[in-house]
Amino acid sequence: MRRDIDLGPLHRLLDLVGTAGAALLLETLIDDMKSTQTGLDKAWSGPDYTQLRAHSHTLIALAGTVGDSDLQTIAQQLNTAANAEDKEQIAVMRLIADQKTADLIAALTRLHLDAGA
Amino acid sequence: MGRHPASRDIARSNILLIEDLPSLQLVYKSVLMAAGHGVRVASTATEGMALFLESSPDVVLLDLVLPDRDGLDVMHDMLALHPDTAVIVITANGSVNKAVEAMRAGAHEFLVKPFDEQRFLGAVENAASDRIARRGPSPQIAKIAPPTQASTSGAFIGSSEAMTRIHSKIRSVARSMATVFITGESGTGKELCALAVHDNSNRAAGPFIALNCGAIPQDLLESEVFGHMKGSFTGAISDKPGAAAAADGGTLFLDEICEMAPALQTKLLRFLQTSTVQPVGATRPRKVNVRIVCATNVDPLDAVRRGQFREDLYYRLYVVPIHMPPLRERGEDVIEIAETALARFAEEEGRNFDGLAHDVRAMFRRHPWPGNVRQLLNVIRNVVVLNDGGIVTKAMLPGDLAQGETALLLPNSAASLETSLDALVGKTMAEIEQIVIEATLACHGGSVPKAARVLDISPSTLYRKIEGWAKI
Repeated sequence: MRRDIDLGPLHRLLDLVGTAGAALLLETLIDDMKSTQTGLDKAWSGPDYTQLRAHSHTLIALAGTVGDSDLQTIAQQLNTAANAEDKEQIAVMRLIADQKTADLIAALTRLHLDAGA
Repeated sequence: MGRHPASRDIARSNILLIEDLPSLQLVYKSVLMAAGHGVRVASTATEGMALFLESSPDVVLLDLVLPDRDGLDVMHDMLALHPDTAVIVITANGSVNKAVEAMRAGAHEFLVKPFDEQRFLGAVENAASDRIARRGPSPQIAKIAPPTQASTSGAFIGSSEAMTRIHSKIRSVARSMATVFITGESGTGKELCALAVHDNSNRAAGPFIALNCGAIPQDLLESEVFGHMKGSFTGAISDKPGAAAAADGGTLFLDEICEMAPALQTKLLRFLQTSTVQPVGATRPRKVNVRIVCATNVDPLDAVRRGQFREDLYYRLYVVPIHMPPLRERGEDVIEIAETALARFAEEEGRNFDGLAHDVRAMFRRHPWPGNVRQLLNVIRNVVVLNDGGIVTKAMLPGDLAQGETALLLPNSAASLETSLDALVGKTMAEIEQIVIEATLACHGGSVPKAARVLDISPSTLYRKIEGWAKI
């Protein structure tokens, strides 16, 4: 089931950049989210802890910037687990993060479509 | 979202943004441009260094995690080339230690992701004003700031290795905006150290406001720090700016910081993050440009562990620690300070002294000085006031000290209490209270907060009592 995400901070940023800038910002955010998701998948297959740390760090920043506090919290827990190289915890947190990232990408895509891009 | 209200004064700052994530680049750039700043953007460390050399920016916003190089190394290179550049490092939660490391290495400020517009613009604008201040001060102002060695205060006299290290640290840290956290036993000269940081900084011409967080009743502390508006509470008969606003353009020294109530710690943290103050009863916050120096005579990390001091505030404040050594660890400084004080007090009192006798010097070197420099100064003052002049001999020293006991140097010495309760019989309750309080203070090296804890009264009550005795 898709979760409700309060994207208040993102809407304030979209207002700031204006209509033309909004489409570009949404596209860029979606691209960055997808790259991060792919990066985490790839890092987990190693596992490559350095990359897991780097991508979870990026996920914290992206989720927080748009206002997705659920994903931000999970990304912080994933980052802590990656720093501790706690494989078991990473496995759990990565799955949750992956689902929540997918939800956020879907929400951003809907916004992008609504913006008429 | 409108233009940031505080941005007008320093609009068009030249900013270099180094961030590898395209979406965050776009967000930061948009917010900065909307606030009137000029922004150049780089995605890698290499690209960032090239733009840095080309444009000599006022402020650099630097992500610590970059694809081709560690952000800290980039900052080192930039500051080596242009030490006056204000570098703001950006990092995510979980890497606060790295941000603290960056502050120690000379960063102006650190921002923790995720993005918070108010905090972000506040940090940039503070950095830009500070950069202007660094470029701007006239040579005259630079001359006014004395080197730390020039200070004539007891705590800053001395050429021991420990003090040489402190002078050197003060000189290196003074010009940065980094928060300085001074620790040390009571009487070691923490406030003088704070003053030396201020005097050696580019803010020397600005105000230096000192506030003792342990001396002010907790319910008044918020008003003392952040100010209040007329009528905001009973007794607020006029507007009061508060210490934070009074220190605008200068340094705010918060002594005994670990004594601050938890609720006010939250407000202080907010103030540090946003650089804005909102006086009690005011409807709008006001932006201020203040450098914070704080001090405590307890172990701040221990206060964090005991839950008395917020961990996030600790990390925000504990950027450049300076530990003031106790007098007993300063070797020959004790003699140097004693002789300087003797000459100064003698001049003030119109007496003529010829220095310290050999056995007095030897005794001073052996003595543990639990009250540190303050205690030594009290001993010398006592000698000067009660004697006419000549060489200072053991016989001129206060009795307790000459007998090799811990010097209390207070009226109605509490030493006699150890022998018998008889000493108290015949005294008034007020006199007994004073004797007990003075003895407790002496047992804790003169620390009011520690003595207050043992006596189970508030430090402010204790300060009031001490002040009351001084007036008698």
